[in-house]
Amino acid sequence: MVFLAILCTSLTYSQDVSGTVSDSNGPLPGASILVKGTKNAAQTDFDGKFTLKNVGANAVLVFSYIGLKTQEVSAAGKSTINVVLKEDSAELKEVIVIGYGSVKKKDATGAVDQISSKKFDNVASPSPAQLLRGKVAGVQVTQSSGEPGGAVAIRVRGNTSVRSGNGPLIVIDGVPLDGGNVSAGGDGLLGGSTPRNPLNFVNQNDIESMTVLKDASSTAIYGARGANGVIVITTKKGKSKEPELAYSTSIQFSKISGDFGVMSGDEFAAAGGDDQGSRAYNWKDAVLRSGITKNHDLSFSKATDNSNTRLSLSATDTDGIVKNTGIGKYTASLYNSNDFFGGALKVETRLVYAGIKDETTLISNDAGFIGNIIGSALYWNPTTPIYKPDGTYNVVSNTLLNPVELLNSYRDYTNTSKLFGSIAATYKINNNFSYKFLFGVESSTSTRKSQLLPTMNIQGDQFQATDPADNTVKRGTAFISTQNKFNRTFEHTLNYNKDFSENFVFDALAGYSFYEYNYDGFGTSAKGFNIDQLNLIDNIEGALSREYRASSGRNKVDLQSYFARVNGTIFKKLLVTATVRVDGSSKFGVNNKYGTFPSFGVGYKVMEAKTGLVNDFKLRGSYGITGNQEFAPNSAISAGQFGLNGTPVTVNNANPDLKWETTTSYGVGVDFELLNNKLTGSFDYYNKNTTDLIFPNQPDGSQPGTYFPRLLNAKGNLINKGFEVSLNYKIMDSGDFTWDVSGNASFNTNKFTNFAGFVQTGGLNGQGLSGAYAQVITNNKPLYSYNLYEWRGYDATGNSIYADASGNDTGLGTAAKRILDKQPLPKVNVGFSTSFTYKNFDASTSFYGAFGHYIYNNTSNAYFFKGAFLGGRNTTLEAATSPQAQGDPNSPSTKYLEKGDFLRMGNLTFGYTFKNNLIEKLKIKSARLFVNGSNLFIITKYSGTDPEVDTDKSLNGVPSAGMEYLSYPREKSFGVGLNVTF
Amino acid sequence: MKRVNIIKSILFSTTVVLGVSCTNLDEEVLEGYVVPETASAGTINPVQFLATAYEGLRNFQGQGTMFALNEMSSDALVGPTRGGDWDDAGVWRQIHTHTWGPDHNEVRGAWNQLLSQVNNCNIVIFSGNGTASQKAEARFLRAFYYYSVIDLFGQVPYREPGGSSLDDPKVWARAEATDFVIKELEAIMADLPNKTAGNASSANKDAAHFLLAKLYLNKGVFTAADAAGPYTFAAADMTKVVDNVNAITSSLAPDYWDNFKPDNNTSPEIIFSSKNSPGNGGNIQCFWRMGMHYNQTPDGWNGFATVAEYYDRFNPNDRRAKNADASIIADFGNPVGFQVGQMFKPGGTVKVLDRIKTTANPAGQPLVFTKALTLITSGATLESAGIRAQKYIPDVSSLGSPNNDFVLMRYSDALLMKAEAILRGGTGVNDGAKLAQLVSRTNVPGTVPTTLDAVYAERGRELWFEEYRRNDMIRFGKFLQARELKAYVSDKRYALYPIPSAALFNPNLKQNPGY
Repeated sequence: MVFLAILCTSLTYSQDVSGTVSDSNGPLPGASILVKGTKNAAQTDFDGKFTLKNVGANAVLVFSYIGLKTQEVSAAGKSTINVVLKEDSAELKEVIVIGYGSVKKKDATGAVDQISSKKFDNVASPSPAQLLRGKVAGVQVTQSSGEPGGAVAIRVRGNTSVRSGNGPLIVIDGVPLDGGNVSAGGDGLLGGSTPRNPLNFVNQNDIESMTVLKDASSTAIYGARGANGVIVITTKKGKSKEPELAYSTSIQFSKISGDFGVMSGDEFAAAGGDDQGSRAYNWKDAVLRSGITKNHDLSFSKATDNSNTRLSLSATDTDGIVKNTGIGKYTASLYNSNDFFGGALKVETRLVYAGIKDETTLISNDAGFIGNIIGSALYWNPTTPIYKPDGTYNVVSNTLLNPVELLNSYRDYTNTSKLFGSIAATYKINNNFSYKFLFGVESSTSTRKSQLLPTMNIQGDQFQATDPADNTVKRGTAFISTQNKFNRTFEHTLNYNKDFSENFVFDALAGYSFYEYNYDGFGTSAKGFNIDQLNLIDNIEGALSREYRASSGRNKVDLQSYFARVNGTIFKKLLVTATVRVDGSSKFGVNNKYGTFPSFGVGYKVMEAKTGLVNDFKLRGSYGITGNQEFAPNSAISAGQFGLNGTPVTVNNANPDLKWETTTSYGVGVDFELLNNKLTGSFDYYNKNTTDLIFPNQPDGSQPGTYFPRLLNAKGNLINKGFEVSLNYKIMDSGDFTWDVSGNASFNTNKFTNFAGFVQTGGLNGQGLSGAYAQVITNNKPLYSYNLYEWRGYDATGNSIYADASGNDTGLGTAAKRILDKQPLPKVNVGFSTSFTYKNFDASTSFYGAFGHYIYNNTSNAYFFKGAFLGGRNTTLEAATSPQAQGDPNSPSTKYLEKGDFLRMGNLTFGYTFKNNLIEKLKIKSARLFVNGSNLFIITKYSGTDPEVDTDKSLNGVPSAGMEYLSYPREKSFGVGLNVTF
Repeated sequence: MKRVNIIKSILFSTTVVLGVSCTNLDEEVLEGYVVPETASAGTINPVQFLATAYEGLRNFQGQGTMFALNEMSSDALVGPTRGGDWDDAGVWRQIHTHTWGPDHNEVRGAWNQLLSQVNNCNIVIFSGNGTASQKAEARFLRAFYYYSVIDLFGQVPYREPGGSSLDDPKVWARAEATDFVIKELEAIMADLPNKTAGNASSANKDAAHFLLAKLYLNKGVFTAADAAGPYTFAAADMTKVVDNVNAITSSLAPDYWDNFKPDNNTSPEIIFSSKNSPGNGGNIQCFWRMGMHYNQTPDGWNGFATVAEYYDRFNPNDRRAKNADASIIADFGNPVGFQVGQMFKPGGTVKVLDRIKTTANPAGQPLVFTKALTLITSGATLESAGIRAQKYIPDVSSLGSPNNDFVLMRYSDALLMKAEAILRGGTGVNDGAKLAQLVSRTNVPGTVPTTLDAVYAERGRELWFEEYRRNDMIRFGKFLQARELKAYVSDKRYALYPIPSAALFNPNLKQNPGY
């Protein structure tokens, strides 16, 4: 009837309709336009323009394009129709990039999640790792502190290793990154520095998508490097046949988001502190400032039928909220692909250059009671003026430092250059076979320079030296260290693909790869400078001649692998994947040079329907074995070095049996799309059993032997099991109004069983805490379980009451430590986000949180106790007014253990897209203005600055978790930005 | 078709050139060398490890491990907690009050430091390289390290030539180990050099005789059925002590402090020492920094103190306890030795203040070290409680890495061992003149010791902080007794330190009784 009506009206009246079809990137060539119910159709030209003749007065035009959502527009009374087609976000139709290939989400047998650039939060983060934060079930992203460019820990389905090396393998456009640290670091002046994030060199605007491979079925193709999950990053290519120029800029302003809660001058005096009279000091003014981040990003791209080019440049400059800290990052990246011989050969070239300048100040993770910038700013008596009346620094002592003098006496910056390039040649041998060769190079150079002026007096040998000429003490210390990396990747893969019949589709892959990782480094230090010297690091020859030290090192790792995968689809319903990889590494002991890692995955599509209540329903199951080989080179052999003055020193204990850690895992899951494609989601259960855990076995048991631990594959089972859910619901999806909500939650528990050891970690620092630790790894307990004195309050004399071995009240001398049922790894992680568009407006927000874990507040332990306050140091009001006696030691106890639960608003963005004549006259394809806020609020009961913290407090090479110690405070920020496409 | 062949050949050659360099996964050491596992493997001459084994003696120079286990467990030294300072999870308090356990970090540290040096000696001894003299030096050093393990831990794990480092080491019982070390020292005596003037830092015949005297003197302890006693001292062993001391060629220095001054290598009294030179040495600065206050010169760490009952056994003017030479007062303001009472700045007239500010003393109170001391100090004497000590004269030309050699064996100890051995039934005649010199150089009235109690008392004064106090107290049956800051008799298990928990991965080791 409708058909007839349209037909009739079209007979009665007709017109020409023209217009432009575009997508979010601009005009869309090759889009189809059909007059509904007719065969009258057209295609857009290179400029996205179309003209349809003889369109009926009441006709409906259907606009469609692959991958975009089909849209219907009434042509009644219109001669010009401009349409913007939206992404078809139905998740199961997505194509997901996986290891050595891609797969439709609906055909995946493994637990894989992909987030595309459209779902990234609009945060001006220096590191792409944070883009995953709260977005993927089972993936926990923890920034160790608020420091710009600081380390970010990514954990996929829990921790599967007891030593460092819990991070996932990161593969960028097919090239696996080496897991190590890129920047020159090492121990600085007042303790160790925090590591930098290895992904800092990637410009987040170059990322098209990030895929997280979570289960063995998807990660076993990466064999001995797959056990911690794999993150596959795909960078952008050109999309438009027309040359396209895009520019985006943003500026963010930030300030501290939490507080340590130390007293003001008035509070300090009122609490009975040693009042020195001044009220001018405030720790935040002394060492903090408003942070600012500026971003500029320019990209050019063009795609033709047989070539594709994209070039981008970016500059980001961040001034951190702690004075003298920041990161400047400049990147250039090029992608080019060309087809030759009629498309038989495709050559793709990628090149990324990144120049990063990190500036930091004295924020170390293991400062003692003398402290670092944060520590001295906190403990400085707030009634003591920073400057004397004559304008010079008010120096109290060489163990109670003037924080402003310390800040201004210290300089520390690192320059890192990195080049990352690859060439991939794909040759289509025939309709079934294709061969690909990939060659990648990663080359980086990083130099760190730090100095402390000779005018600054700090107690300790590292800060002073005696001039033998006149026995006077000279100060001033300078460090310079450089590290170079040069890594090469070679990979050959052969693909086979054949549809034998509709009921049996088969593809297979076989490959060989070789990776080579080279490192070399050099460091020098000097002390005892001329008191007038201001620039020590660029004139290091000014130090006392006998006070120079130098060190250098070099190592190399080779990895060689063979791998294969087969995929079959049987009767369109049953999906089967099997993979195997054989990995060999020069790091492994001579008796275990090669490991084999198989996996098997199966999927069954219960339901596939375009409309209705249930649209897609798929069951998945997987089983596989993966490995982890992140340990230092030369760990399997007895390596020695020449020490100072040529004395040979053995630095490592041989273990010819040393091999990878083995994780055997299985999982089941469902993927579904329900309610007319409105609700998509998945549920997953997994169980990972890690054995052969590599452990720095303490040397005690093999004495007489070397002083250093021996890496051993210890007996024991580290079990991680959990449940993940992720859901996405499209609440509204009309032409002008879209609103969707997505959320995820993951529940993970871990336990170490059949393990004979008792390994300390979570080393504490601060006055009176030498050798103290808070966490242990031992049998039948979760990793990093707290092992502390149980604190019960103060007795009448103000001395702490603790529990003794049988649970009775006692004093410190007879208190007994106990392993608590409390641990620092969250049991639950959640994330949810929602986005909303109405006409030209868009808005989005995201939240994330973690629950069920405890944080050890080492800052409070080391700095906030009565004795410190009575000794003239600032503390919290609570510590100052507590009944604690002056001499009651601040022993590590449950007093400093706190619940870490939190829920944070990660991001809030409002945007407006300009669509008017002015924009068109300016030849602008699109323009969007946005404002956004990050970390605007957090809900937590934790008393420290921020519960999302992970100061590295590892002990003897065993990492810690959930510790807070004088860490760089986190910021909240507010920004505006503009994206323009020409 | 031709085109395809070209493509194929290009691909093939890239593959060959770029991809096939890679079948060998042998590991190389690029920043050092492979340590010889056996005499034949490795890329450096195993004899090089002799220097490493000598450097290992620097572990005795710190404030922790062997020093703390030998002195702080005795009546000579205590590590009080000072408010938030120096609690260090109770490690120091546990040592002084005999409450340590198998996971004590200083106990673990001593175990690993001593036995990893045995390993360095083994590399030299088991290799086919080296002269007879070099082998003898390595065997002497190993004997010295073994002696400490016997003394502290009782059992001694050992390795024999030809094994792999992955094998579980075998274990000697205390008596077996003592026997082995005595035989070793007697076997190498002929190959060891004589001591040369100005250098006591190389193995020498005097040092071997000294160590033999130590072993024979303590043999009654080391072979006792119960480590806590009772002990029987055989007359024949005591005569061996006398004979070995008689074989020593060293002599007393005119001044006690010649042994502890920056250029103490010139002292004829030092039999064996750990070598330091400016910029290259151990952590001997602990011997002036660990007790001194932050505001003193040189600045210290305000930590360890001496128990009053120990200090009170000295005549206050005993030169061994107080060296107040004009140059010392000029440089540091206070005497070297024990420090009690008001402390001064260099020159000796301006008072040093502590860091505790009161309304009466807004800049800090005068720093007066007191005899009164508790394990956990508090209040106004938080920083000043306890007598401090400086065993070595600070090297003003290199405070952080000084020139003073660290004394491991001294002739005065040998003389007192001989006197003790004779009193315990050994055959021999005391060196009356030398003993008299030992007493007279204290600058205060005294007598040559003629009873075991007198020897014990004199050893306490003469050898303070020289890491033999625990050994002496055990041999004289005093170690477990109640004393000033340990009001009870300790359980007898504390006569030995526990085997560190982590060491029990070696199934041949059994935990010491009682732990």
